[in-house]
Amino acid sequence: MDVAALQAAHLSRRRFIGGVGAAAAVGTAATLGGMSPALASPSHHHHARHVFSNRPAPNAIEQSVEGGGPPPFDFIHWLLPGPAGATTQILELPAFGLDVDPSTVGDYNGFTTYAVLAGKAEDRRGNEYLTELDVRVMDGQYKVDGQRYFGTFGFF
Amino acid sequence: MELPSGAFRRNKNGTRARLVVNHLPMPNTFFYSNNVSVAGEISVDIVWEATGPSVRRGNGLDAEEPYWDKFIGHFRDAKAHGKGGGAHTGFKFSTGMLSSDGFYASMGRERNGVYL
Repeated sequence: MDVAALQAAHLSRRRFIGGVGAAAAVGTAATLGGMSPALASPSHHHHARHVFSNRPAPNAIEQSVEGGGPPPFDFIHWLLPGPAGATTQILELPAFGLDVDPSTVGDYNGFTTYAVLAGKAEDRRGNEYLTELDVRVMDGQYKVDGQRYFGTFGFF
Repeated sequence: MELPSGAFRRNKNGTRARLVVNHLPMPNTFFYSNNVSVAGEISVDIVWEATGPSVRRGNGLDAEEPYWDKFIGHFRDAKAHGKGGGAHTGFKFSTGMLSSDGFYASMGRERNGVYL
């Protein structure tokens, strides 16, 4: 697969299977409905859980709207932590540095995991693809309109 | 997006974590001239393992434009590996073993926004 071609302006997830799922965390955050219980780690949730019948979706981090990636990747409205000078394995997106918030959730206090993984994928017909997947988990508390909630959110 | 209960687990000291989701509905966005979102689903089984010490990251309220560092956290470098798969508009795929080797992974605690 021609990686250079994939870096052109039109990126098709069907051809590339790139994990550029910004819409899942930004913009569509408002569509999230009720919450499931938070992480099942007793030591993490030894304090009382706040259970609400109708929990709102968390706010997106403000930087995801105000920032965005450096050109020509300014279509990326999320931040990409990584060592300065490094690029992702397949799309060769430039890392923003290490002092960069990996969370896609704003007004948030919790445990975050982040990874950009790469490898091969195959469709039902046996066609092979290169794949790059940006995966993050934000697990903890967040505030909306001054109210505190708990939740576990993923970004793919 | 919100994860199902039990999908994400980590150990007490935050040096190992695992995310498992199966057929999780999610929108897919195609970056054409106008973004188009279609329904899809994703499955992943990914493990994070810390590889280094906890290091302070971010500058909190002292952040400067473009404010990428407007958070405070303590993170460990990590390695992540796992498998995934997805489907949308009749297209279905599954991956082999994926790895963060060659780029970056991390895990840790942080706070941003009104928590600063």
